[in-house]
Formats: sequence, structure tokens, C-alpha cells
Amino acid sequence: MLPFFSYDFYTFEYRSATTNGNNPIFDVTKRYELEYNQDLIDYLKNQFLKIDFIDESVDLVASPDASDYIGSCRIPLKEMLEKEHLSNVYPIFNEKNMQMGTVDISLQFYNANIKPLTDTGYGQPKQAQTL
Amino acid sequence: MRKSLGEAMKWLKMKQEVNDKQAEDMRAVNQKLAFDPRSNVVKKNFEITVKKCS
Repeated sequence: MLPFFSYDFYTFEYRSATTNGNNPIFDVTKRYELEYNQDLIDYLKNQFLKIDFIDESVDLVASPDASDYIGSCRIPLKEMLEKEHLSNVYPIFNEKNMQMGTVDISLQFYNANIKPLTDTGYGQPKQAQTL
Repeated sequence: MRKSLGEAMKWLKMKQEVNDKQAEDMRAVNQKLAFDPRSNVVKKNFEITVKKCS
């Protein structure tokens, strides 16, 4: 298996590097600088962070009927309105609602002037959609 | 009494140093408060860490 993950968060998107194995270790931290305004509060109140896991080893050309989609985990972001830090193991479900595994994730809010201990760089904003 | 050119230059240099110091102090205060003076918006960092799957 050659898994990677991707997600959309607020005005940002991220796709991880591909790793290998059935129990991959990603250890990726992305940092996003946000204006703490009503738009962000509404987003956190109503949205989930959905992380999709994909298997790059599936050859969709040779096997068009095969699926490279492993599954997704969904984290309710409203918890971040009450806590500044969230760390949990979340189930990964496929499109048939079968649990495919789990993922260890942590989310954290902190003031913009404090440098975090772990950091692999700022996240990139979503690219402009072409019409 | 008119100042000499040298004195005027010295005065301007001192004034510029005071202005620079004030601007630097204000930047430090704004940074400490995580405050953007252009929009009066509080900024926060949000981190997403994906550790491992099993």
C-alpha cells in the first residue's frame, strides 16, 4: 500500500506526501494563520474536518474498476470552540461505511505570536477555481 | 538663530531615530497582542497534525 491523505480546511487545502505500508506514520503538522472572526467561528461551528486517505499503489489504468480510495475520517470542528487542543484516535470509514482503520490526529489553536514546538510549515491557500 | 546645516542634519537624524524606535515599540506591542493594526483583527494559528494510521 502507498497511502497519502488530503483535506480541505477553511480556505486551505493540503495533500501529504506518499508513504508506504499498512500502518503508515505520517507525522505531518501544518499550521494555518487565521483571523479569529465570525466567519471562522461559523465555519468551526458547522463543519467537519474530513481527511481522505488514498492508496497510490492502485493502478487505475490497468484496473479501471479498482478503487484507490481507502476511506475518510471526520472530526467535528465545533469542539475547537470549547477546547484549544484536541488529540484523539479517529476511525477511518470507506464508502460502504466499513471501518478500514484508525488515525491519530491532534488539532490545536494558539496565539499567532507563539512559535509552536512542532511545525512542518504553513499550509497553502486553496488554488483559485477556474471557471 | 539659524542652525547650521550640520546641526540641522544632526537634529533630523535624531528625530528619525526616535520615530524608528516608536515604530519598533508599536510593532512589538502589536505582535505581543497578536493584533493586526490594519484591520483590528485578532489572529490565531491553527495546527493540524496527522500522526499515524493503523
